[in-house]
Amino acid sequence: MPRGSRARGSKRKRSWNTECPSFPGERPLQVRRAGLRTAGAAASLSEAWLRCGEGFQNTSGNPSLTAEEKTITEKHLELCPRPKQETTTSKSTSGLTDITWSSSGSDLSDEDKTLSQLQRDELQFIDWEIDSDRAEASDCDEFEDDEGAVEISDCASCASNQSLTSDEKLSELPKPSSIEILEYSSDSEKEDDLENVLLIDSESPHKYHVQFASDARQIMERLIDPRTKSTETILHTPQKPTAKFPRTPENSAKKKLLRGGLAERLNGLQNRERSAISLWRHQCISYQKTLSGRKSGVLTVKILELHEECAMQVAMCEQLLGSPATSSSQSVAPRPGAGLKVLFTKETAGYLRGRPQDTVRIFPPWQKLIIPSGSCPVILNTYFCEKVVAKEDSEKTCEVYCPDIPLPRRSISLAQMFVIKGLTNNSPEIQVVCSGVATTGTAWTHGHKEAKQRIPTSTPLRDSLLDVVESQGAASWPGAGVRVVVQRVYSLPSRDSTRGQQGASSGHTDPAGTRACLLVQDACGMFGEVHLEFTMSKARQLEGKSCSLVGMKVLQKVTRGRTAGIFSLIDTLWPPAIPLKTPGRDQPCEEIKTHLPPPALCYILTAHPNLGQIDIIDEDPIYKLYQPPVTRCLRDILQMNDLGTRCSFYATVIYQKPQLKSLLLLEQREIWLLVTDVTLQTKEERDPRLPKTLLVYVAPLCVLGSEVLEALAGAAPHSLFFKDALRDQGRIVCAERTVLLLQKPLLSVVSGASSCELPGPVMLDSLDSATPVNSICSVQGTVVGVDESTAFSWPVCDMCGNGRLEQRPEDRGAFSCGDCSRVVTSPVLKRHLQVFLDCRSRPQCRVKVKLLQRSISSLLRFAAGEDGSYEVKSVLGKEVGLLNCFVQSVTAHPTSCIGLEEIELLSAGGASAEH
Amino acid sequence: MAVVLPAVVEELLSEMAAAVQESARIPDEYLLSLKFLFGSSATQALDLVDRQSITLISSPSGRRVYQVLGSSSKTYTCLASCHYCSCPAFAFSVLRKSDSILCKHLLAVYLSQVMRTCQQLSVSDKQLTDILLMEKKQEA
Repeated sequence: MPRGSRARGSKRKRSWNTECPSFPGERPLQVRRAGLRTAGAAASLSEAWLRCGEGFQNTSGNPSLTAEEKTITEKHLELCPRPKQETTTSKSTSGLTDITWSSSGSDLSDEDKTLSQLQRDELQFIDWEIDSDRAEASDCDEFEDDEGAVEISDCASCASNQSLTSDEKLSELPKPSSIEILEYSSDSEKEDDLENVLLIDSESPHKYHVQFASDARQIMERLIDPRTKSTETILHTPQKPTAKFPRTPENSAKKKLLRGGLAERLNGLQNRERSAISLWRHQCISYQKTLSGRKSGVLTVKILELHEECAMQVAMCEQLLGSPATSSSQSVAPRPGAGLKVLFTKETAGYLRGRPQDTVRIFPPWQKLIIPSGSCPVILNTYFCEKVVAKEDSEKTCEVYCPDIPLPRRSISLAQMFVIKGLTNNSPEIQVVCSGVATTGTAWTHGHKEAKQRIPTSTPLRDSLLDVVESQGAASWPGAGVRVVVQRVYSLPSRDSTRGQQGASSGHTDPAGTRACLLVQDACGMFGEVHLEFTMSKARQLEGKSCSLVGMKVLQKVTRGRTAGIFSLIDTLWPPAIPLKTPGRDQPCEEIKTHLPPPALCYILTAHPNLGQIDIIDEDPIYKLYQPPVTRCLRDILQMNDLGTRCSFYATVIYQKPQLKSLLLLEQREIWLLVTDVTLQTKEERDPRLPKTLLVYVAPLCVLGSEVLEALAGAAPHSLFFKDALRDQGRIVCAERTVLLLQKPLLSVVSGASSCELPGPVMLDSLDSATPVNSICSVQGTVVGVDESTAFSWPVCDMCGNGRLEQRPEDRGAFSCGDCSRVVTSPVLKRHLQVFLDCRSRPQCRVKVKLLQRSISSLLRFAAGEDGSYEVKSVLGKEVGLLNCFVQSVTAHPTSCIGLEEIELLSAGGASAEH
Repeated sequence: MAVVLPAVVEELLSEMAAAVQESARIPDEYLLSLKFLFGSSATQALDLVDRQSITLISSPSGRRVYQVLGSSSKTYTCLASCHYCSCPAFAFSVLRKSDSILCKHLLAVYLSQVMRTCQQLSVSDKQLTDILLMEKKQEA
C-alpha cells in the first residue's frame, strides 16, 4: 500500500509539472478557461473556427504517418531488450494487444519522465479527437446515438483494460505496472463522465468541446509528430470487444408461501377480494342498477359516532328502517333500529369519508360478529360501502362545514391477553351471520358470487349422542361435543374394588374403590353413563344441569337384556318431560311423544384423560328434560304393583341387622334395614293389610357414603332419603345406582309427607301367620317350656361387666376381676335363656324366643333360689309380652316352628314395657 | 368509553378455535375477517403458523414464553402474560404509531393456539432466565 500511495503522489506531481513546460505560451491556458466560463464570446468563437480548419489540413498527409510508424517501432526495439520478448509473445494473440502493451511498456522502461508524461497526455488528447470526429460526421437526429456509442466505447475500454490486467498477471509482471494501468483507467472514466455531461447539457458546450479537441491536436502534432501512427492504431481499439460484452439482468426472487397452507389460501382469497373491490368501485353505478330490483343483504345505517382504534375506524351506527327498498334487509338484520358497530379499514374510511349523521349503505358480503358480552353486533368486511347522498349541494355544504378533523383515537391496552374461549372452556353458542346475494346473469356478479361464501350456522355442540358415537367409533371424540342434561349422579364400585377397602378410607369424603357416575340424556332422548374421576361432591352439583360432553371415550355399549340395573333407572325417566328432537330434523316431533318406546341401548362413557371435558352450559333449553326423583310415601309404595321399578322415599330406620358397631364391620356384605314412616304408623285411614314396617335390603353393590355409614353405626334412630331404590316382592332393594342420603332438616320441613318425627313409640305388627322371615313383630304368650340345652349362667363383674372372673382358692372361692384388679364381693349373674311360648295368634305352632337379659330377669324374679338356680316348673305358666322380636326363621316341616329373637328398637321409646 | 377491537379479535379467535375443534378446518369467512382486522399481517402470521414456527417454552417454575422464528430467520420472543414482542415492527407499529393491535409474531402465537400447532419445549429455570436476559441484552 505505501508503494501505491507513493506512486500515485509522485505521478500527480509529475503531471502538475508537465503542464507548465508543455504549454510555453499562455494562449492554451487562457483559451481553456475562457471557453468554460464565457460561452458567448464572439472573438474566441472566431478564433476557434480558424484553429479547427488548421487541424483538418494537417491530418491529410498519409505517407508521413507511415514513416513515423516505422520510426516508433525501431525506437521500441532499441530501447528495451526485454520488451522484445514480450512483444513477440503478444504478437501471437493480436496486434491490438501488442500496441497497447508497447505504450505501457515504454512507460515502465523509459527513465525519461518527460517522455512518459507526454505519452499520457497524448492518450488523453486521442480521446478528444475521437469524440470530435464522430460529432462532425453525425447529424442532430443521431446525437443520442453518439452518446450511446460513447458509453459503449467506455465499456469497451474498461473491458480492454481488464484484459490487459489479466494478461499481465499471466505474464507475471511486477506490481507497479498494474497500478499504473488502474490509474489510467480511472482517469479515462473521469474524462468520459465530463464529456457526457457536456454533451447532454446543450449544443454550444459541444462546440467548445470541439475547440478543445482541435487545440489539443495541434499541440500534439507540434510536440510529438512521430507518435501519429500509434494514434491511428488506437482508434480501432474500442470497437471489437463491444459485441462480446455480456448483459445479465438481475432477477428479484419473491418469497413463496407454503403450498396448501392457510397463508396461501388467504392470499388467494385476498387477491379475489381485491379484484372485487376494485371492480366494485369502478362500476359502482352499474352495480346499483344491477341490484336495483333486489336489495336483500344491503345494510343501511346512520353513523352516530366515530372514533379510531389502531388503523380501524369504529362507527356507532343505527340501522335504518328506510324505504321499502331496504325492507327486505330486515330478515338479515335481527331488528331494524338496533344499534350496530361498523368497522372500516383505513383505506375504506378514506374512500368513504363518513361523518356523524351520514347515511351509509353497506353491500354484501359483509359479516356480522355477535359478541356475547357486547351490547350490539359488530359488522366486518365493509369494503363495499357508499355514502347515501340526497343532494350534491348538501354534500358540498357538508364538506365546507366539516373539514378533515382528526377523529378521536382510543388506545388499546397491551397488558391484557386475549382469551380464546374454545381453548379454555366451551363458550356460549355464537352465531356468525354472513349475508349473500344470489344473483346471476352478469359476469361481474358471477365473479362476485365466487368471492363470497355463506357461513352455515354451525354450533360447536351436537344434539345427538348416537350420531357422535357412531361417527367417531370407539375412539375418543377429538372435536365434536354433545349437549346433554345430567339426570342422575351416583357412585358405582370400581371393578377391582370390594367393600372391605372402604374401611381404610373412612377419613375421606369418597370411599376408595368407587367412582362418580353421571346418567346423561341428549336432546334426542339417548342415554349415556359417564364415569368420572373427580369427587362425588363435585359431581353431585351437576345433577339437573345442561352440560357439554367433549372428548369422551366409549367403554361399552349395553343393551336392556344384559344390564337391567341401568335400564330400570332409565325407565323411571321415561317418557321425556319435553318433546324430543329427531336426528336430522330441526323441529322436535310431538306426535311421537306418546308412542315413543324407551331406548333399548345405552353407552358407557369415560372422560379421556387429556381431551375429556364436562362443562355446564348456561341457558340451554335441554335442562328442561331433567326429571327429578318423585318422592313417595311408604304407604303409596306398598300399594303400588309395579315390581322391578325404581322409587324414592324418606324413611326412619328403627332397626338394622347386623349392628354396625364400627366402620370396620363394613366387610359385611349385606345390610338389612327396617324402616317406617308416618303413613305406616298412623292408625287412621290405614289399610289393615299394610304392615307397620318395611324391610330394606342394602346390596353390596350399593355404595354408601361415609355420612350414611356413620349414621348406621350409631344407636340413635336416623332418617334417610332412599333415592331410586328398586321395588321387589315384599321388600325394597338398594341396588346399583341407588343413592342413600341423610335427610336434611330443610328438606323434611318442605316435604310434609316425609316428616321424620314419628307420632309416639313405634308400633309393630303382631305375630301372625303372615309374618315373614327377617321382619320384626310384637309377641305375647305363656311360657310352656324351657330350652334347657341353651340355658346357662355366668358371673360378671358388677363394676365393668367383665365376664372373665377368676376364682382363687386362697380367697375361699371369692371372684376377682382382672380388669379392675379387685375382689368382686357381689358379682352379677348373667343368664342365657330360650323359652317356648304358647301364642294365641299362632296356635299349633311352637314359638321359641331368645330372651334379652331384661326379660330373663323379670321372668326369674321370684323363681331363683339363693344359689341362683331355679326350677323349670317355677317359670311354667307365666305370661310374657309384649316382646319386640326379629323373625329369624319360619319352618313348617317336620313341625311348625318359629324362631324369634327379642330385640331392642333404635328408638329410645321404642321398647314397650311389660304388662 | 370502552374500545371495540380487542373484544372483536377475541371473539373471532374463539370462533376460529370452535371451528377447528369441530371440523379441523377454518372457513374462508374467518380468514377474510382476519385479513380485514389485521391487514397484511394476517397472511404473514398464517405463513408462520403453516411453517410451525411458534414454540412455547416453559420451565418448572411455571414461567412461560413464546419464541417465533421469523421470516428473516431471526428468533423473536413474545411474552405469555401481556402483549410484547422483541421484533422491530412491534416497537414501531404497535408502540410508537399505534397502527396495529399486534405484530405478526404475536398474531401467529394466537393462531398457533387456535390451530393447535404450537410446539412445546420444556427447559430448566436457568435456561429460561438466560433466554429472557439474552433478549434484554439485545435491547441494550
